[in-house]
This record gives sequence, C-alpha cells and structure tokens, in this order.
Amino acid sequence: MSAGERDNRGTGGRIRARRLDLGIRQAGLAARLGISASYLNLIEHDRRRIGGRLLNAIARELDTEPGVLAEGAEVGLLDALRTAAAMVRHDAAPHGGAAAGGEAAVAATAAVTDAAGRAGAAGPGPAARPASLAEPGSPPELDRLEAFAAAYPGWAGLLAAQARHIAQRDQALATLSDRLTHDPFLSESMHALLSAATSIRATATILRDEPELEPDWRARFHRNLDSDGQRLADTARALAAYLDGAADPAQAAAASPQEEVEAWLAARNYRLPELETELEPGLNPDADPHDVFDPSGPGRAHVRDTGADSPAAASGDAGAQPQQRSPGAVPTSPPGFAALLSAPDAPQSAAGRALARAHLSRARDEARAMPRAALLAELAHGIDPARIAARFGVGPGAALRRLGGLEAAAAGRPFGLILCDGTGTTTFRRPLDGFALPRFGAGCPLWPLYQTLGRPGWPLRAVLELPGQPARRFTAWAVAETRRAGGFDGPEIVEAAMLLTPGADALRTLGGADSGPPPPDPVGTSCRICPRGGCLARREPSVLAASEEGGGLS
Amino acid sequence: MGRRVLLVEDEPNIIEAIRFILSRDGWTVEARSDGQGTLDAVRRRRPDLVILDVMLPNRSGYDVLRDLRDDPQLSGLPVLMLTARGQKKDRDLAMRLGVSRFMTKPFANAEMLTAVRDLAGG
Repeated sequence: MSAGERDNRGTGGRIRARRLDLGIRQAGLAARLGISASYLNLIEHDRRRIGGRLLNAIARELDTEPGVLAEGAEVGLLDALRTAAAMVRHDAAPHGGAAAGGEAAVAATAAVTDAAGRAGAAGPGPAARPASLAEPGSPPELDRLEAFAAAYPGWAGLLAAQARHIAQRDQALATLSDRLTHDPFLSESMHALLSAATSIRATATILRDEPELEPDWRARFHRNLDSDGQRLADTARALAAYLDGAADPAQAAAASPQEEVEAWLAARNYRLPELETELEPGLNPDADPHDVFDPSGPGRAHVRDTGADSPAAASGDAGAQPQQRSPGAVPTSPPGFAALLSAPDAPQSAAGRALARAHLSRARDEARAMPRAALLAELAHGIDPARIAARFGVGPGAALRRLGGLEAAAAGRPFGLILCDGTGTTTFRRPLDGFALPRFGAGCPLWPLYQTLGRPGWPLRAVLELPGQPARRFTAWAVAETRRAGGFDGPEIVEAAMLLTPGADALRTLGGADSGPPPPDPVGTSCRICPRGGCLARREPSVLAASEEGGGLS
Repeated sequence: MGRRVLLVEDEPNIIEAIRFILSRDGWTVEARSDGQGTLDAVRRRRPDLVILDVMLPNRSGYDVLRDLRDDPQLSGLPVLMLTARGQKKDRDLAMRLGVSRFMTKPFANAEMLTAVRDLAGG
C-alpha cells in the first residue's frame, strides 16, 4: 500500500499484506507460529480475531509492531466512523429526526447496522438483522464498529469517506453563508437589488391603481421606473459577473472590485511602466521642506491638465488639488489606458475597471510629477517623503502613494501602502510581509493612518511595533489630505495614506547621525486578531486571547 | 391638523412612491435621507409615525430607533421599520429595540398603508 492510501483492511488483512510484502509463504509463517495454515488463513481473512501472545508472535515474525497490525490506518477509519455516528446523533438530536445532511448519514448508519449484523453472523455474535428492519434514525451500534470495519473494510471506508464529504460540504456551506452575510459586495448588491425592486413594485402598483393619475405624476413615475429598471439590470449584471468570478478558483479570492484591482496590481508587482514618462521633473530645488504641506505655498506652478482621465476632469472636481510642476515642464500626451485595461489579467467587472481607471489616472499624474529616475535618485539619500514632496512640488500624500508604488528591487526596500477615506474605510492596500492589512473592516485604531484623519494636513511618522515573538517593527509615514469636490462650496473629501517599510532604521536619517529611531508605538493589525492586552483603543475582543486579560475590551 | 409621517429613507424613488401613496390617503409626509439628525427632526416635527429604513447614511435605522426609545418623550412614538434586511436576526434586533412594526422590502403598497393606519390610529 502506498503512502497516503487509506488502509481499510482489518488486522488480518494487514498481517497478510505484511507477509506477502516480505515474501513469506502462509504455510511457512504458520509453521513458525505453531498454528495451522488454515487457522492463519482464517486470521488473515479476518474470520478470527486475535490478540495477545499470538498477535505479538506474528508481529515479531513479520518484523513489525503489534499495534501496527492491530490498528494501523484502521484507527483513522474507526475514528471516521465514530465521527459519522456522532454526526447522525448530532443531527437527529435537536430536530427529533434526520436533518438535511443527516439523512444520508442516517441511511449510511443503517447500512452499518445491517453490515455489522452480517459481520456478527459471519463470526461469533448476535444474529444478523435484515436491512429492511433497520429503523432510520436508530443509533448505530458503536460496540460493533470494529467488527463492521473488519468485515467490510471497503464499505466502511466508503461510509467514512461520505461522512467526510458531508462534513466538508457543511463547512463549505457555512463558509458561503458567512460570505453571503459579510461580503460587502454581495451585501451592497443585494441591498441595491431589493431597493430597486421595492421602488419598481411600489411605482408599478401606483400606476396600476391610479388610472386617472395626473400627467406630471405619471411622467415622473415612468421616469422612476426607467431609472430603477436600469439600476436593477446593471446590478444584476454585476452580481452575475461577480458570482461567475466567484465560481472561478482563480478569481475566488477577489471578493470586491477593490480586491480585483489590488490583485491585478499585485500580479504586476505594482509596476506600471506604461505610465512612466521621461519628462524632466518639475524640480523645485529651492523649496523649503517645511512648507511642503501647504498646498498653496509659494513657488508652485499649476500645470494644465490635458488628460481627460484625470480625476479632476473626470469628476468635475474644480476644487481638487492640481498637479504642480515648475514652468517649462512639458507634459506628454497621456498614455491610453486601453492597452493596460485590455490585458487578460486586468479587472473584468465594470466596477473593478472603473476603480482601475481611477487608479491609473492618478498614478499617471503622479508619475509625471515624480519621474521614476529622479525619484530613485532622491531615495538614494534616504526615505524622506517630506523632502521628496518638496523636491517635486507635490503634496505629501502624492509622495507617499508614489513611493508605495515602487518595487523593492528598485527602491532598495519593500514598501506597503494603505489608503482610506474619511470614514476610515480602506480604499487601497498594498500588503507588506509581516504587516497584515485586514481584508474587511478597519485596521488598528492606533495606526497613524487613522490618527491623521482628525488632523488633515498634519503628517505623522512613527515606528510601529506589532505584537509577536519577536516583536516586528515597521516605519510608517501617514498624512490625511482634503480636497473640495463639486465646486467652490462642495463637500470636503478627506483621504489618508500610510506608507510602511520594515524596520525602524528608516527614520534614523531624520534626526541626525546621533539620534536613533523614536521609541516604537505598540499597535496591532486588527482588533479581532490582536492579542495585545490593555489596549485602550480596542473595539472588539480578540479571538486569539478570549481567555486572557488582554483580549477583552478595555 | 393633518396626520404627519416622517419618512427616513435614502432611496429617492422609494421616497417618492411612499410620499405619493400616503399623501393620497391624507398624510403629510416629510422625508429625510440621513440617519444623522433624525432624532432632532422628530423632536421638532412631532410626527404621528416614523417610517424608518435600516441602512442609512451616517447613522443606521437601529441607532435611530434606539435614540427614539431612549427619549422619554418619544419612547411611545410608533415606528414602522421598512428594510431590505429581512433576516430573522434583523427582525429580532428591531423587536428588541422596540420597533412597532417590521416590514421587509419589497412591500405591497396596501400592506404598507394598512400598517401606517394601524400604527398611527388612522
């Protein structure tokens, strides 16, 4: 029997297999044991149960352990059968009968009952009970489990396998149910579907019940029906595409358009060379590094945005902070995004493509403002987003995002990046080894990313220490910035960015040669999986420390 | 004085349909699309009934319901929760918080109107 193959044989079967493996004749082994060949034959066919001295003697002759012959892989089989029996009892108990998945198991255990009876009939034991007399839901005879497994190893193995499959499907069902409940895309899609359906139903009923409806009301309701119908169709299409993707293992991991974009960029190692230009950078060597966070600071020339894809142009965002570059810099024609988005690995869903387009648009603008070669030359002096922002005449958020798009090989160290909006909702993640960024929900409230939201324009830098043995340290820079969307008196939109890199040495360059990095700030990744105790910012208990003092809410 | 309903719902077309249905029945409907500030609006307007969605911007319908029930002056105000979240746990939560009636979307117009009349004694 090969490794990994299930051993469904009884003790006798294993004795026979071992003897044949060693090339020993049955008569020869029987002679050495002092028993008859016919008796050994009965043993090898599990017609006689053995133990004690004889089993020890056989094991000795076959150069193995008695336990291997007596139990072998059968232990696993018996455990699986016991588990199957437990599943039946578990299913039957609360419902007073067979539940959905339990019916198969009940039927299977009825077969156990019958087979065990037959096994008993073949050897010593109670008389067999015909299958027709096996009552569905009657408890399996656990005391005859071994006899059943020994007499019918194939059937026993099949029953165990079926029980495993049922358990796996139950697990899959639970996972899918959990996903339906918590998947933000599905949740939002269902809400959109039901809202559209609600509006359509109510409006259609009004139109049916009000034949004398005033013309303006009628026209209005017709318009509503049209818009809701369109919304319903769009949402249904997006949902169908999403579910199709979910069925594809390659896309199963992408639960939302945002994840679709992130997976696409990750597959490209976050490189977008198509967007890089060879422009002379809009250098501003005289800029004061301390004024870089004043978006209206002196010495900044606004560059005319020629790209229809720019976020400002696309959103009609007259108040968005423009790209800034010194006079004389000549923007090239914006590279088309069609080629990038037509690649087979590009996001496929409409929402994913829209997000990807927005990402590309901003990345292109920032690549223009901070050309790659000049940026890498700046990095050679150390990681200082403030200096980089001043050097290229951009805001600190743009500097963080641009650095967060560099690959480790070029930058000399890996970067992680996380962006969030004013609600703290994550809008982009570039993971970093050792610094887990939660897939759903927010991260640690103590991250500088969230701290900056309360003070837009006020940058933070810190050494973060994650719990663990040994504790892991990362350097983080974060800033929140605001822009006014929708014109002069439009709403203020807040976005925060946090750049991460491993280790604490990255801050060493900021305070002079003699100053070490600042003391680390103890943080976590997400409350649910953070074991850190006594955290004043904890919003929910940790599953890792349910019984520990630190796992509870402060 | 006409009977007043405060409708808290963030879907404009649903607002329009409900406003039409109730206004035809003699109700004055004031609508808001944000959970935030609803408590103040109720205190100011003193409606006879609140129709409350759950998934609202800034403050959920559950939070608004909790606010209303925590206010001694408003704890008895009839609240009809009208939501796309129709799972048992959602209904149970609403009942625990003291909702007067829980209806799931999509709803039948007549059923909604009957509920409003029942709750507000119309």
